[in-house]
Amino acid sequence: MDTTNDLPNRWTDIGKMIKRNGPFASPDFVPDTKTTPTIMNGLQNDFKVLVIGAGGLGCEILKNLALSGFKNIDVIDMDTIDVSNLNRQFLFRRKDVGKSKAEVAAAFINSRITGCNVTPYKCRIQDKDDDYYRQFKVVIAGLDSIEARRWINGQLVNLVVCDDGNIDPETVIPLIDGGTEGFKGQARVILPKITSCFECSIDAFPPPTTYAVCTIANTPRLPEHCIQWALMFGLEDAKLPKPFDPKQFDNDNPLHMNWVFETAKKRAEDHNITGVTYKLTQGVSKNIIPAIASTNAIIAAACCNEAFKFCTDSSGFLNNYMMYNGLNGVYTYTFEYEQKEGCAVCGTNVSTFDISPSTTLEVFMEKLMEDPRFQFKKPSLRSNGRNLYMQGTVLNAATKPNLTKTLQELEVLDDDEITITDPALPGIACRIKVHYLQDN
Amino acid sequence: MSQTTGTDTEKYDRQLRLWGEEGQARLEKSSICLLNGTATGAETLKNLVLPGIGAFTIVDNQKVAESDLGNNFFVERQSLGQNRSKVVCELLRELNDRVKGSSVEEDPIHLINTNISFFKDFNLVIANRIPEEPLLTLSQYLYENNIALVVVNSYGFIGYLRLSVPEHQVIESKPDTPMDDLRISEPFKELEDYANSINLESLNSQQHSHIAYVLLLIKFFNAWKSTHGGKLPETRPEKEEFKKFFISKSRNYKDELNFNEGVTNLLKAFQPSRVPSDVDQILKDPKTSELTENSDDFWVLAAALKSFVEEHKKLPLHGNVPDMTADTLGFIKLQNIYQDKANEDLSDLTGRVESILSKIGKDTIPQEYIKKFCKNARFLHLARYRSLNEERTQPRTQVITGELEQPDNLMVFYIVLRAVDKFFTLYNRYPGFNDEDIDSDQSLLKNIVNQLLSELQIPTDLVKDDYVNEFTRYGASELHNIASLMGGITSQEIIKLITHQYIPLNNTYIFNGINSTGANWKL
Repeated sequence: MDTTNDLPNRWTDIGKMIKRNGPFASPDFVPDTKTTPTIMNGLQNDFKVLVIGAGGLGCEILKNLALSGFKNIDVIDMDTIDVSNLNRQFLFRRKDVGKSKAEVAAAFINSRITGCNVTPYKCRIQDKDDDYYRQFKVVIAGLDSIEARRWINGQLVNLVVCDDGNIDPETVIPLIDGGTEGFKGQARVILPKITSCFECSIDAFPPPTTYAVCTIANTPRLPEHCIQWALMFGLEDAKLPKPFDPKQFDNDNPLHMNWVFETAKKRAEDHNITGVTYKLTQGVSKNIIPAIASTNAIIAAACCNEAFKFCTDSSGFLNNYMMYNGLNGVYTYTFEYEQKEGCAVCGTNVSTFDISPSTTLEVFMEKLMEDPRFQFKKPSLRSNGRNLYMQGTVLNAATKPNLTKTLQELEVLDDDEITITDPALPGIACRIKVHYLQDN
Repeated sequence: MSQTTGTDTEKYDRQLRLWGEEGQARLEKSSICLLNGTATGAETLKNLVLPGIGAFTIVDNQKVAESDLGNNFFVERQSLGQNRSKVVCELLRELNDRVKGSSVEEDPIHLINTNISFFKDFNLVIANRIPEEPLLTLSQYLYENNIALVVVNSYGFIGYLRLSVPEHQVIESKPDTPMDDLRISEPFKELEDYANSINLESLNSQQHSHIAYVLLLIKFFNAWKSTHGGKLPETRPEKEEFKKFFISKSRNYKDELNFNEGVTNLLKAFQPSRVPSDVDQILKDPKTSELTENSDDFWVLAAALKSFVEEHKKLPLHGNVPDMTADTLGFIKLQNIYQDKANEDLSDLTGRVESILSKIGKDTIPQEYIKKFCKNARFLHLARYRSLNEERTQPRTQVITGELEQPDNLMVFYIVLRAVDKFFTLYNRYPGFNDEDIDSDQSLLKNIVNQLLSELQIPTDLVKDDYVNEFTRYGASELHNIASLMGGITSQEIIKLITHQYIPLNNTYIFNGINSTGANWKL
């Protein structure tokens, strides 16, 4: 990119930070001079930044990076623009509804900010390989899905090269992660293998609201129960007429949504329950989280401020987690989230799992999947060089009979290690040591 | 109240779930003035135009400069040299066609000094980079006219926000985790009668495990009282003993979720219903006993609430029942009992409101408003902000000193920012603005810091030179990230002020972008 035709005074404000030393700058900070504009060159030529998500946070992040002097930015988002995005995703207009978020956002930034070069990818983050991720100086995630965050976190931890326990700093790509919900949000900096990672705090995320199936089926009390009933039982019930094929149910389709609403309303009336509205029906069906421009602005800016400081060494840093709550006054709380011993992703320690030797593999796997420390989705298990249970077609057929065998029968001994891989955690093999409990 | 149109309901869905149609209507009626269309100012307005305020006006006489292209998203390369207020206004308007925007090409300081009544029709004024003297003039005018003032500045890695409005009333403070209002330890008659009417022995196991825990606790509290001299468990051992007694009444504690919920909620159930201190303060406010026909609806309602509490020793019942294990019929019946009582309390309160209104000769208050006030009686909030002039003439020296004595306290940034303001007043430039002045400006700024501390009677060694040097380094630079972050926080506080929902900052917030920490104080 040719930077010579840029206006000479355009970056005056950033310039003061990178040309002047200060008492709180990083010890590695070497201010730019007229003859050695190393940092400015880095921002404008060398550093490539990846933004994951072009939604509420993503739009803000792209703007902030472009106005922090970064020129080479990639953005990945597989979503398309919905009308309900327009109250905060300020790079989109009504005419853009239905188009790719990544593409529209990139085009807007490139046209507004002269010289900025944002490259959009309308795909899943899982579609990109290791070499792709290796090219970035820093990755900023503005996602609403826990799954995607776990994946990118695992991916970046996996890229760190460790030789005899010594981390190669050149391979550490920081992950700056933001999240918001209504008036609340958080921003954090993850230095893979060095600080706590996303997985270290996975059990701190509250489980999604669920309702007991028997409540929904037999003793509904709330309008939410009636809506869940329409979704869980009404859709499957062949006797209930529907203006669409229930196999093709789509909660973005107003016709389908209206059927859920009417069905839930009928169920509520039958049980004297009030409060089923179309809005609530949408909220429950799509698990809608309130979102506003202001909170996204705060969290995205906190993330990008860290990216700027990391790339320029011009100041201190967030260590390593900031919570924001605007419900009552302005409440910010910054603290160090510590690395979890035996973290399935970034830890070197092996987690211990207490279990009776007479447990069948099937029950063992159920317990493993319930354990909040790991949160496996589709685990494959190996021990002592043999496959205990494998996902996938061929290996699955070969290992499926093991499910009914006990750990003892599978020749897993006390203190043996079991290696677990899971598609939710790319390239990571999690090690668990089996500790046998005495059967009583 | 104006209803948002169909497509806007869809567009605004994610925010309507927070502040509702009523909050939205208040936003859409609001008119906001911004002084200086800088990055910080434009970012603040961006987050207000998107959710749909009524109108905004930008006052700014600067032309779009090259440096604006490096930190302000609402200017373009082809707008170089044009009037910044007009450019920023037009690019902001693109975000939402329902919002009216206008620009005034005039120096905000000149406007404050020559035509202060220009501000009288705004609901709120955002002041950015306004020097101390005109800011105090503006502040005094707005305070006298009951208009909210929001001061926001981004300075290097530091952000500053100050709100001021004489009185701010909140009915729906919407706490994060509101306490249940179930009156278990002091049930009203209908509730107690219903609990007593249930004969647990006669129930089959399905029914037994679906009696709401509220009813179980009321029943067994009564059983306990009958053998303990009419008293509820008070000490910790007594409460433990009650817990065992309660669990022993379950047929199968492992499977009876209702008994489990009773145990989980036991400590809360022992708490008698109290008047929260925030609400108590409102009831004790002199305004509740000095009513005239010109009094706000809020104070009439507060006076009615005060008389309600004096008679009943409790606030009106909220009436909501959280979900709990129960069968459908039992739960609906329980809901109705609470609802009926809440309605009874509402009509009691309404009667008091009417008698006050006729006494002071004031027009009626809409029933919807009384109902909302009654339902939210536990969540009322009132804030009276100190004015900027008070902050200077009656400084909170003890608070400031106490904070400065703590290691790594952010109060130091407040002090240096105040000194930077004084520097500007004295020299008509910001410290370190020009490269060649850095060294000399450091000592000039240091002198002003010391002078300010002496005026405040604070030991001068509490502000280290590092901070003076860091601020001189900044040289008034406005970083987009800090501008955007402060714009986010500021717009959020403005939304709270305008919707009268949630609790806004009172009154000063500092963001330290060096380490991403924040602090707030009443100054």
